[in-house]
Amino acid sequence: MLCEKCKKNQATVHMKQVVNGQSKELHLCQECAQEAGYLNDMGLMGWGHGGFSNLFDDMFQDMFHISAGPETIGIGHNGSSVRCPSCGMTLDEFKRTGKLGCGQCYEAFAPYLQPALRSIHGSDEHKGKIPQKSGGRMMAHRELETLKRKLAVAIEKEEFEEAARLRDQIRALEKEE
Amino acid sequence: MAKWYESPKVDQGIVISSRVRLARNLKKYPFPIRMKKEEAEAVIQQVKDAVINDRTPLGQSFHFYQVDTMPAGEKRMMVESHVISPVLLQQQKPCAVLVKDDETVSIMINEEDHIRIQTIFPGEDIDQAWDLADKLDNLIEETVEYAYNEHVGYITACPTNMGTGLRASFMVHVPSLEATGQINNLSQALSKFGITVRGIYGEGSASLGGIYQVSNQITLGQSEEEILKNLKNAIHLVKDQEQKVRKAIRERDEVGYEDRIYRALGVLQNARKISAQEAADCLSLLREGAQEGVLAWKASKPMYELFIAIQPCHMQKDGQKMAAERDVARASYLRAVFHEK
Repeated sequence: MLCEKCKKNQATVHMKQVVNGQSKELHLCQECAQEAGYLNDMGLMGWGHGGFSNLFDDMFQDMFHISAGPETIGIGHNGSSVRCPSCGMTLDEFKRTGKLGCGQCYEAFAPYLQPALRSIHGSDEHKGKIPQKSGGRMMAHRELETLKRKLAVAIEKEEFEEAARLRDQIRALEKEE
Repeated sequence: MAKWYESPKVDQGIVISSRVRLARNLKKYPFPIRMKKEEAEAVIQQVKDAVINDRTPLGQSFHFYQVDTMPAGEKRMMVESHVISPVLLQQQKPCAVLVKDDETVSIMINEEDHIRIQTIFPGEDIDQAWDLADKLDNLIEETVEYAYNEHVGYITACPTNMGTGLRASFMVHVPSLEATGQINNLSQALSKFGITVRGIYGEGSASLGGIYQVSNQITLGQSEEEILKNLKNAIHLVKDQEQKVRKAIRERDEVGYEDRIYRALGVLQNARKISAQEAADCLSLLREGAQEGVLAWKASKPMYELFIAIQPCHMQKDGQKMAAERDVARASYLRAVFHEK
């Protein structure tokens, strides 16, 4: 199998990630994997197979048995673990300290973090405050959801004038998105 | 400027104070655990500017302190009065705090997260604490960009704060729940509803004088309003239980109950040396006694203010003292305070 990125070298790194419940496969050559931050200088190590020692690690391991198991999510290669492309923190380091290294670490470690968040908070979906700057799209999305709920209620109550008004608002918002 | 803990509201009920803490990070910089010295300094400058450069009376009421270069004793005093956390005290990298003149707000910079906004109000007033924290959060965001993800909300160093980054807590005085050991049962019951009960100085700290912090554990999957509502429900339960147990203890042995309270007054008015632990226990008994109408509050300052004043580093502030000298100074301070009235 050829590397999906450079399409030149033989793919030797095979990954399966589960993001938002959707499974995604990735087959890369050693160089491309290193460039993308999935490999460190030592090579790869199967995540979930490392020496789990502290409580945080155990928690992660437990969750993986529940959610997917290290065989289904993991890096099918011997070496080191995933690395945040922004701050360089590795998944192993995160599992050891329990602390993220930067704002981009969440995305890098999402397959591990989502089950962890569900276990800690019972949810992995933010329902609170949205910042003005980075939250614009989110705010529009939430408003749309609210309007759609109101529309369903209006239709059920046969308040068709209100329903028509809501429908126009929804269309306008969807156009903006 | 009078401090929040000098308000008579801190002694009016089981709830001493209401606190809100928001954890925020800047998108541009690595988190404190991974930041270089220059990056830590840049974060301090940006947050400081965002607050101090605000021309409103709110922005003008803050003082800036560079914490990493401060003398250890002064830092510990700030921990004792809840202005900074024990984590900031330990921070070796450049770190700072912005403190509002009445100490109702402290904004810690480069603690576990880049920004920790903390607001404290006397008595049971969590909504006001949240409103002010929310307002300061918006003010800072005018000049910086936060680390935020649309699915999981505000990104924090520790996954336990992710989402809203909100930790709301009530400081409560529950001597009867402590004396009967019921605080442990209650704490277990509340944990099922995502509520934690901790010692007076937060995570991992022991309780002193029957004072505990009751706070939300869950920060993700609930809105700020839902978190506050849930916590308010929990605090009603805590107050209710404490009142019931107090009543039962008093009814079982009325004379014994009053005797303990008057003895505590005797100790505070007459002791020649006293440890922080014993003084806290006596103050706790007097606070309860005053609330239950056993005796009038005999000191010129509210209990919680005294409670902070008798802590080891506050006792130390007029010069270095050994523990034994501190105990003598503490006794003399308390005698003066309890004879003024």
